[in-house]
Amino acid sequence: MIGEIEFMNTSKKAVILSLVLFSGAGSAAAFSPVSPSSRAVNPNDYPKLTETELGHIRHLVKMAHQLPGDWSGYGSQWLLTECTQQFQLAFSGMTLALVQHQYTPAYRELYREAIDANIQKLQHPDIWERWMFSSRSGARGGILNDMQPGWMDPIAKDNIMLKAYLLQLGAAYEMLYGDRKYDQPGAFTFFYRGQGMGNGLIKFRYSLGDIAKNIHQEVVDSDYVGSACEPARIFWACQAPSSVGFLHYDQVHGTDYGNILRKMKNSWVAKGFIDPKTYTYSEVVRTSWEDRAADQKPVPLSPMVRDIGGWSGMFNHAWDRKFVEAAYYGVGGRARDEALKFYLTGEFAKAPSTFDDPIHAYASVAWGLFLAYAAEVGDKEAVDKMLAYAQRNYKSVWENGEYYYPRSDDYSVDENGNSHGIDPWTGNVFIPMARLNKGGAFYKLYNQPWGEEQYRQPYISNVDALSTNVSQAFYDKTKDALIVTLEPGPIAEKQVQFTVRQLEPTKTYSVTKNDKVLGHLDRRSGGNADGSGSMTWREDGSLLVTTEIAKAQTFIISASR
Amino acid sequence: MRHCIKISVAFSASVLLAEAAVHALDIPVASGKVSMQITSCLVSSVKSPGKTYDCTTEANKSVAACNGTELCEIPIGYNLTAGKDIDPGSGFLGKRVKIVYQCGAVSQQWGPYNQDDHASLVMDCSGAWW
Repeated sequence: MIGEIEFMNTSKKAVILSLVLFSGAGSAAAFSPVSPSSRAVNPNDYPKLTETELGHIRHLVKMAHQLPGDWSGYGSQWLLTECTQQFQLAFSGMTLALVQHQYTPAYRELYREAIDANIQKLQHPDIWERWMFSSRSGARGGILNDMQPGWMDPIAKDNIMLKAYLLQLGAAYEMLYGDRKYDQPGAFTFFYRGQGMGNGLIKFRYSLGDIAKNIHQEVVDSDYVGSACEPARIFWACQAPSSVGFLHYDQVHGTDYGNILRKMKNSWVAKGFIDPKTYTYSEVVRTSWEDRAADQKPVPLSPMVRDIGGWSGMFNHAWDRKFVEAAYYGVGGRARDEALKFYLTGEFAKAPSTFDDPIHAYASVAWGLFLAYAAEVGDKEAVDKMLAYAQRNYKSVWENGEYYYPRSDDYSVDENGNSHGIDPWTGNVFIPMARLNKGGAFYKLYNQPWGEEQYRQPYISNVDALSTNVSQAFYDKTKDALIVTLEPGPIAEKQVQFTVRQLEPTKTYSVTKNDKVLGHLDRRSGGNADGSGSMTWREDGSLLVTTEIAKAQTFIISASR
Repeated sequence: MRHCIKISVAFSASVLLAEAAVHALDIPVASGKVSMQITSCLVSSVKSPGKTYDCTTEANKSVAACNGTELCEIPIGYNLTAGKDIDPGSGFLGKRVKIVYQCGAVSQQWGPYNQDDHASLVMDCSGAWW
């Protein structure tokens, strides 16, 4: 278990011991011998976030921490009933999860708090109360003759479009941090206290386990077709987040919910809803109102790579890799080529308008989904071309250290065949996700889960995120070395501090800063004061590091004996 | 010492009388204990209106556990029907719960809502009833 982060007044609570770390400011003779291990550690061998990527992350983190009910920057004109905030929250959380897992595993507080904030936001009334509309269903789609009373509980029945993300994010959080907070009864609470409508105050409480069990049962009850998005409408895309959510849930809890994934795929194939020879599928299967296993009817099959194909593809890659990659390219690679052309020439913005999408915002969402799908399957050529398209046609913004592409409703196609319209879901989330996913990032997130070994490794904390960007934080267990690079954040400071936790008290560590060996450090020694910073052991066994931050600072703390 | 006891007894009596007066006026107190009582609690089948269960006793047990707080949560799952499904096979949408309760002389209806093991009605005697 990772300890709770402390925000102590370090100047008061640090206990400065008597011995001084061998100073780098002195002569060479004053240093302890440099250990072979520290020489062997090259920071360039480890993941490092670029300035642009750090800007994307800062934007996602900032949005996650907006005050409850402040949806600035989220607004979309894609008028699906649930709106898109919940999807932005969820996909943003999963983007942060993949960064946590693969870029800065030894710097957790920023990501942990932001992922948790996204999960909390998914319980905000602005998000879940939309279900009261969706659950009423109606004549559209030919399922009913009229709207129904609907129901309020957003988890009890259907609404995989919300509960899948609670499962996915909650399970990812538990896997990453070894913190089972979402297992608690009522960890997810939805409190209806609206005025002017309703039959009184009511609360709905669920644990992560409740949600996993609920979704699993709905999949089984549907004859392995899935849990419905809206009543009697089961989308293949909507199953993907909960499918991979089961993988993390099983890893953390030792359950076997994941065994339904193959059964579900096989069911779709057997019923003709997926054609594995042509890589086409029915985006949605309609069912009877009463029974999700009855009267299942597909819509005409379409290629799995376009429209909302990426929604499932980017996640299902984790458990159905070969098929998902093959579906991306299609027979002879034609599906991918045609889709890429479609999205790079502005053709996507000319797609017929629908009455729930008056400005083609959905077209931009589909653009973003394809981009994220291309990134996950490792199609670097497509990703590079689409990111270049984004740079040319979308007006990116740097603002307070955040980098993103704000919404544009200009979906006209210019003389060069480009559209400048972009939806916030794409500008806030999909482009960052694709830029950060160098191929198979979700595959790794679900197939290389963390456990006790990772939870016990050294990591840094108490970083002031306003003055500091952490572009590198990686513990290499093969070299017993922690590699950390800090860069200036949007608020200028001369000096910053951070804490290194979970160093072994019995070991001596070699410390290198910006290629300069500072010397050796252990619990028997104290802090150094070489003019550029200090290191101080604290009572709780952590190491407080103070450093200048005018430019990037790279530390290597490696066990030397 | 005896003088102090007399003062204490007099003070306690005043408090009790004042509290009784508040109840007599049927105004829920802003804080402290309130008089919340379940008038009726009914679980009924949506498709078979004849299938009902009087859950007043079960609901009052929940209220009693709240020990006079202004807000009191009553779980509205199968706890209200002694763990039984009054209309087997009717599913989540098949049963509804309606509770009428009193805050002093003021009567409130909460529900109907679906009978739901994950749901609790929050009975409210705080006076904010608009």
